[in-house]
Amino acid sequence: MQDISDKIINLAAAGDMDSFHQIYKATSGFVYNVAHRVTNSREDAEDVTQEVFLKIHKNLNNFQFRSSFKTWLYRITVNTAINATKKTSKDLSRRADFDKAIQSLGATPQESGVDKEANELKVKALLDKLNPDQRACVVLREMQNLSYEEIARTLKINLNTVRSRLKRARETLLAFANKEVI
Amino acid sequence: MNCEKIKELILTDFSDNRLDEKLKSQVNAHLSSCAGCREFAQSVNKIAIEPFKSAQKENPPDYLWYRIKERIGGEKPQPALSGVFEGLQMFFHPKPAFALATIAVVIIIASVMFRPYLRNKQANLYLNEQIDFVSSLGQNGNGSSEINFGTSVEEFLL
Repeated sequence: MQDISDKIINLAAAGDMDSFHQIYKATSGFVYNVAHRVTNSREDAEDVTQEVFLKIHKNLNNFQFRSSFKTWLYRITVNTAINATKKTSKDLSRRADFDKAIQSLGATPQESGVDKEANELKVKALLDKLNPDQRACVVLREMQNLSYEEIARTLKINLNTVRSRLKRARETLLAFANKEVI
Repeated sequence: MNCEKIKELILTDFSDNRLDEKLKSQVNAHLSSCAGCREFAQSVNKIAIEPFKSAQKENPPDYLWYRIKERIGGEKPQPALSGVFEGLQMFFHPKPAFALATIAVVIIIASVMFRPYLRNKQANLYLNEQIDFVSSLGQNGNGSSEINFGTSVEEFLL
């Protein structure tokens, strides 16, 4: 995610739409991808992204620069996505592509031939086995490359909670893969 | 370190490259001699880490910005108010429920306050009409108290 200057933030807070658009361009990729993986749905990701930017626009004036803009954005994004996930609570097992996703668990991308699609289905199936809090930790760590410290600040939890959520998430994924494939 | 401790590190700090050099070399030494832990480390990487690392990143669809822009519309970001000003803001930008409640209260108060006045006004209007009527009886041209009803019977009698 690109850095955003305080000047741009202040201009956007004063109602300048061009500055707000700059913020959107710099951060919407992060917001959309986190929302997509935490909700595990593209459709929900669009709604979450929209909600996140409406919240940001509404509250920019109250942003005090005490924490970094990035951390503030991470927090709004993850919380909005987790809430959306808890609300919809979609069951992946009802989807048509679920069987394909299960089959793809045993294959590495190199073996499958259709790398991207197979991996995408695998990721979907794996994420579906995690609760929203574990999913948020995995997404921030593995996909957004945040450190344990950054995850702790974003989710307002301590470092050991980050560690234990990642540990439980990985144990769950191993158990699921062993049960379904091996 | 025993296998249990090694597996715990594999699930967390070792896989996330957070161990200091000393601890990292201890884990690596264990892995080179323990097939079970080595296999476990490979499984963690293959199942729980690598798929996410190589997952595709996507950009939001272009129309999303226009949707957001449309929703924002002409509204300006909320000014940072506090204390009394925050309370006063309610009166200048009332929420629908608050606005309706305020209107209802104003109507009730107005009807209670003006009821006696309205009643008096009706009574005054009636009295004035009566006074006008009575006074008109005594104001007929040269001072006589004739009443002209405008009928042929009246003309005959008079």
